[in-house]
Amino acid sequence: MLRFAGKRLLWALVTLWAIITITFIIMHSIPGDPFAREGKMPPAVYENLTKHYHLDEPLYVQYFLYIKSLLVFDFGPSLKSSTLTVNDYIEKGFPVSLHLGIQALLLAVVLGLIFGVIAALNRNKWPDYLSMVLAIIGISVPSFILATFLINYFAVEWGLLPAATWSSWSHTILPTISLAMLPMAYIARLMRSSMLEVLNQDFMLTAKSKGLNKGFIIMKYGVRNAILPVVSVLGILAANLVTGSFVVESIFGIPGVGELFVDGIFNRDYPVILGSTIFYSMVLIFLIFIVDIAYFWIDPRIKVAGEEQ
Amino acid sequence: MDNLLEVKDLEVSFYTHAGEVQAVRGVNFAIKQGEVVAIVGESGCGKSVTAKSIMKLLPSSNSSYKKGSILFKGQEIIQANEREMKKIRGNEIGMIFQDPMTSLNPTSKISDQIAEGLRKHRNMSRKEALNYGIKLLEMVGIPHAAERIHHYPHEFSGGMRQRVMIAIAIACEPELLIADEPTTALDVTIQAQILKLLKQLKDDLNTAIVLITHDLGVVAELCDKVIVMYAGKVVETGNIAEIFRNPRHPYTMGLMRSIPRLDMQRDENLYSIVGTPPDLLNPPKGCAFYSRCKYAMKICKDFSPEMESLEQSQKAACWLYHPLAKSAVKTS
Repeated sequence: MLRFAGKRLLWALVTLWAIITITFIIMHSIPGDPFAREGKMPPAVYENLTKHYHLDEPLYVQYFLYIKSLLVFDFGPSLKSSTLTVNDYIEKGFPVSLHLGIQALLLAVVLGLIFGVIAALNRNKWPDYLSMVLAIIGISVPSFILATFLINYFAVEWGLLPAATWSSWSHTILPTISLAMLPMAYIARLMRSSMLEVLNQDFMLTAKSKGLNKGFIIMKYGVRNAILPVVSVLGILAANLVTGSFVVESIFGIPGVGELFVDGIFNRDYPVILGSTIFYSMVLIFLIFIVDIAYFWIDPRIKVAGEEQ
Repeated sequence: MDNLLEVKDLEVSFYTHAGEVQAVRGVNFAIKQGEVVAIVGESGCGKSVTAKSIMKLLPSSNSSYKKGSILFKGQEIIQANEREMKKIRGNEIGMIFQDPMTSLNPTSKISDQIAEGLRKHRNMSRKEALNYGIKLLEMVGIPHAAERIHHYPHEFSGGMRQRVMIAIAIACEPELLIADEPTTALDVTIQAQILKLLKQLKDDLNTAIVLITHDLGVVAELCDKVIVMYAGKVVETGNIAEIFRNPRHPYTMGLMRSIPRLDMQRDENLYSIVGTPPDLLNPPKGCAFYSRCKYAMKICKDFSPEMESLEQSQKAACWLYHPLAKSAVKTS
């Protein structure tokens, strides 16, 4: 188990390094520079600014300087703000995104699993069709359309919920729904097909032949086995949600990391782009790691394979 | 003595996109306490469907009992509701399935899988069920049972898993055990061990066994009575000596001849019954074996034969044995 964890950690570092390097290269290969949009600027000021941020150095020097600061978890200063660093931005934005993400994830997982199981148990009957129509809508309607739709009805027409910003819990409801719809639909479909497969397994018949209760059979024999493929995609889904959907955060005016990222790209704010990309990757890798560990716990067959290695 | 299980005129159909598949088309048999009855026949002859219908394990969405009755200890199974069936399943009737590799829940420990039935039907506490489970595993010959019971199915070999399945099936001491091809998925040496185990359990617990198989060797090893099925119908029944010494239905004769013999010449071809069984989507009007039978007569094509009593307990459904048939062919 420890060896497995160590190995995964090593791979995580390699992955992270690759992401940093690739992002760095791509970002700097786009023409233009961070101060191009600032309007007229005396050449001396421009020169001082580029010098201050080491933008006049050769690329490889910038690269090593950046890696050096990363080693102490310093994502560098923001080129757009004279006082705030990228670390400040993340510290400010991440708790908000995390809150929104966890709420959306819970909603997506709980409803997704329930819809998926109900659909599988009622295959080719109306609950199945209803869940799958909902799932297809969830997958095919982009979140910005859903978000505007929700705002229009729940906030503007009926005045039930606040339209935007982030202050009380009722402010979180609409963004949570907009964000949760896609993963929920995805989980529902995955769970349905997985559950259908499990329902056809021989051990379901064994369970029935033991005279056990239907609910018990569905949970312990059905869901317990069908959930495995869902868990394996949960890491990526969770990272997506927790680090914030850029679109949903922008629409609702939520001060999360998603907004930070979008602003960073607009402003060609190199440290912000790099910082948020790396931060996103770190969260993703961490969550996938957690999911792998969780897999050990829920699928006994993997435990043995891991220990034998 | 009264029959433990009585199946009368059972007809079961499946509904598919292609139409109604008449999987079982009138099956009759009875089993007494402690008796071992084999149902033999080739794949698709309805033997597994018959077995599953005894426990009402067929999918309710696309299958139905069309006719007949299944009496278990005088209770009509076909009319029984789910609540009554739950009391019978695992408690009074246990079942062993064909493939031990897929019949156990992979994410649940053996201890749980044995204890479930005991706790439900015998109201045992967690601890009692565990201790009894260990006893059961010892009984079916699993070494280090006290330790092994805490393992998961994938940590057992195929033969060991089938032993676990048997332990689960007999946990509540059912009066009837249905074994649906219990040795088919196992290799030959393990098959022999499992058969020996079943035999021993039958002697120790006086459990009646319905053994579904297409392996006549297994039948000879274990059974008192044989039911030969073909295309959803019973074509011949009798006790084991009668069927093996003197098969009367042409299909049974063919089956017996198909067993490879030790005294055969090496270069001799193995015998097989020519042709394929009929499509049960449109079962033939007359005898289902007509197209493959070398004794086929005109009447066989259009009229289905009834079971005729021959000597002692042997019966066969063949026009050759109709009282009006002049002289029956004795052997093949």
